[in-house]
Amino acid sequence: MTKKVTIEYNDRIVRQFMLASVLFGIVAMLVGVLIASQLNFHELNLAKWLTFGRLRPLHTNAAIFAFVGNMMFAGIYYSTQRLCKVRMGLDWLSNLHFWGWQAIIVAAAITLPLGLSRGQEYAELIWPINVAVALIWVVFSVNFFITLHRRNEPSLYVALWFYIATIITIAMLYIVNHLSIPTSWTHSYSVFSGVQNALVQWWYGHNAVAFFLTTPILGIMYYFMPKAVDRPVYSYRLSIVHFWSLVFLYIWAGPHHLLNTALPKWLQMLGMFFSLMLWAPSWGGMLNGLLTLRGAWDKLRTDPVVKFFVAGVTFYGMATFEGPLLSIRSVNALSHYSDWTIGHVHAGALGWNGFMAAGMFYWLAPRLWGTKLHSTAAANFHFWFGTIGILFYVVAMWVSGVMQGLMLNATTADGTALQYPNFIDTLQAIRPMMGMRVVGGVMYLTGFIVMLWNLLMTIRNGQPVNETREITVEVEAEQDTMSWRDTFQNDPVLYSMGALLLLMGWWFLPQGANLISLLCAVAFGWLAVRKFQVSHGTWTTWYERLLHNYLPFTVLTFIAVVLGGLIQLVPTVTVNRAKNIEDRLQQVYTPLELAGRDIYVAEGCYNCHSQMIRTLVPDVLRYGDYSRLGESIYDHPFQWGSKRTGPDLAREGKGPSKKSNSWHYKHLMNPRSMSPGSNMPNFAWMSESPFDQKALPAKIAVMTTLGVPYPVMEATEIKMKALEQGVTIAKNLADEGIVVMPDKQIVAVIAYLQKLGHYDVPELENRLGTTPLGVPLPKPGSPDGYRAAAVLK
Amino acid sequence: MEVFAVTVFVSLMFAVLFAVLFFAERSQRRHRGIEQDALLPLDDGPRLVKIQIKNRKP
Repeated sequence: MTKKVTIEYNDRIVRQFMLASVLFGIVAMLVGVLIASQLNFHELNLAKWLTFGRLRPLHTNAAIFAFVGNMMFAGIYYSTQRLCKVRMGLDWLSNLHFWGWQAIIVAAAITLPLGLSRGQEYAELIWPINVAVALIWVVFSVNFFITLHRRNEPSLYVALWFYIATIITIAMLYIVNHLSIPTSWTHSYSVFSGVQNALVQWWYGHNAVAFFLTTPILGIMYYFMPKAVDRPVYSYRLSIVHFWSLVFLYIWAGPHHLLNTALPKWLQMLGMFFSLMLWAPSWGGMLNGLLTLRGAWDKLRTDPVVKFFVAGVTFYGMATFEGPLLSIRSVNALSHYSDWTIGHVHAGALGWNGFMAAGMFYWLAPRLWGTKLHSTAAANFHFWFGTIGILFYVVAMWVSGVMQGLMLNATTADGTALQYPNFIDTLQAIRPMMGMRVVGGVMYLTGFIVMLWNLLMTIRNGQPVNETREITVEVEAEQDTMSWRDTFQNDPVLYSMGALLLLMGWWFLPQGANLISLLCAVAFGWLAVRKFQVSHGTWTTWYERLLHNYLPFTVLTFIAVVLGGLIQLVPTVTVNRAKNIEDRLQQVYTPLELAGRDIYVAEGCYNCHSQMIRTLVPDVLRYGDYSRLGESIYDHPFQWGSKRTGPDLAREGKGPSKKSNSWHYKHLMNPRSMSPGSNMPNFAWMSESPFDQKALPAKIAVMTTLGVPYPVMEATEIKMKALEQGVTIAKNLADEGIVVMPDKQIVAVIAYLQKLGHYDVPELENRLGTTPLGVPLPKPGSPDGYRAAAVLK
Repeated sequence: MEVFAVTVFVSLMFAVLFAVLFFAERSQRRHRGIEQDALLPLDDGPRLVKIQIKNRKP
């Protein structure tokens, strides 16, 4: 039975999100150009709220959440209404979503330069803003699912699958990674510390790329590319394989951000293994997008929209080739902490996200304002100028990353000493490339400014239009009727779960049993293929039914994305931390050191300095013995870092790296006075601003709640202890002719830097515990042979 | 003459085959193949009058 329905789509919300995306995109790129310039000219760190450490989080958050976020919402709101053949759920929810999201962006733009930060990458926003993000995400989700519920098209198109995966996964990642206990309205400590914090953070951080910057844009690709070339997607069956393999594999890849670190080796290997497997679905998706143009390649010459889409999808292919490459441990030993990673992420952000956004905006604007695009020539100019800009940027970062990585890892002929022991020498070598990056960034930004002008002129020539369509609705009894039993009790689901279980057995079971598990997995896989060949029709029918039932589809997607996280996170997060320290236990920070650490975190020092000496010879030669799990056990948040624009600071306060208090004072006041050629900002205001004594009791109370073994202290005692240590440092500085009050920030930061690398070495028995009979427990088998051997020495 | 008859016959067979397949496909609409979902983005339905929103900011 069919009926005719007239629908006026809510295109106003699409216009709003689109314009917000263009505007914030330009702001994000402008900040990017500024911070790239600051790396070349330290003088551009004009004020304390405009330093690199504070602006870099603003740049990344603006690019991800403001630019791509608003673009994603525009694309989702436009396509979901058309694919569901119904107006978006509720108008007031759409409006609340829009204005709530913009308020969050403004709040972030104010708080980050003020130095209010959680100190974890892409998770810097303070807790009240995070609560707002979660609430607005719920508003968006409810609005989206109401739309699915009311849909007039029974079958869910592939774009909608990717949107569903985005919505549920981002909610899960964001909430878990932002679990914190507040110490005030603007500050909190993450409930995770050290290795647990690192693992959860990069489970989130990597999947922010996967499920915020990739899956929604793939959904947009699957909708807008066929529209732009007026052809259906190349292979719908390929899109099924693409979707399920991508969402299942992506979530496991987070540990590739922590290769060669103190992270247990089994997790590193799992991260690398899944990253390599990601190659296949990523390229499947890229090819599916590109081949959609079959028979319409001529449009590539004339239509700027198609140009942007094709280049965007090509950059997606390049970035998803490079990502697995960088996830190989030996490649990562060279690339990690270097500009290579920066180049990789910008190939994705500028090429994939930026160009897909531009293509979509050029396609949408004439339709949303009922007119023609003002200037095709300007759009073409944007395309070519932007493309050359990306190439300048990415090539510069490749050369810079490889060069600095080689220099940092180079040893003398006998292999016993570093060839470039002075870190600054490696920084000076890459300065020309850092300059070229600014040129590329300016070109790309110019393209976007041209696009803004072109869109504004288009808007001026037209009038806002809400598209109205008359559609034929098939009233189908089978829509949204699937039972939970039908959802789970069927061959595709049972075979997939069985194979996964056996593969996990291969990974986790002891030697011998793991091989049996692998053989069973292979046999089980063969059985599944045979079954599919015989009952192909049943499998297809079941999947078709699933596509007519949005809730079972959503639940299965959630299971696919939650499995990887559970298997990776639960063993590490629930492990007894005190017994999992290797041979070193971090010394607890004194109140003054804790105050200094919070300043270090607030200033974003982690953007340029790591605190993780990897299990690599050049790292050990340069910074000392490799970092152990126990050395950051009390660090809420962890500060292992992901980039070394400056040297590692894990042992800054101990051993050969240790410097005097006066060295640190002079270095913080003017880094070039102690380290000629440095590009670090001056932190002179720290000698005038007092550190926050009043906040210390609340902070230590929260730390104690989180398991840091502070002795019982009264609030006054805490403040007095901080001041007493400050006086000691101030006296020491006075001996060298430096006058500074003991309650200043610079004193606290010096205290913190001098504490870095201090640890106790508990007896092996104490660490492992004893049996009830008093017999020491045997040392547990470590999955990382190399590390275990080193610990026992 | 035989050629003419054969031509008419074959043409009619094609026409009948076309009609049979066409109506079979029409009747199968509810049980369509999964690849047909790929056409969804292109299935917009007829556009009605554009609603011009004047004096309202986007």
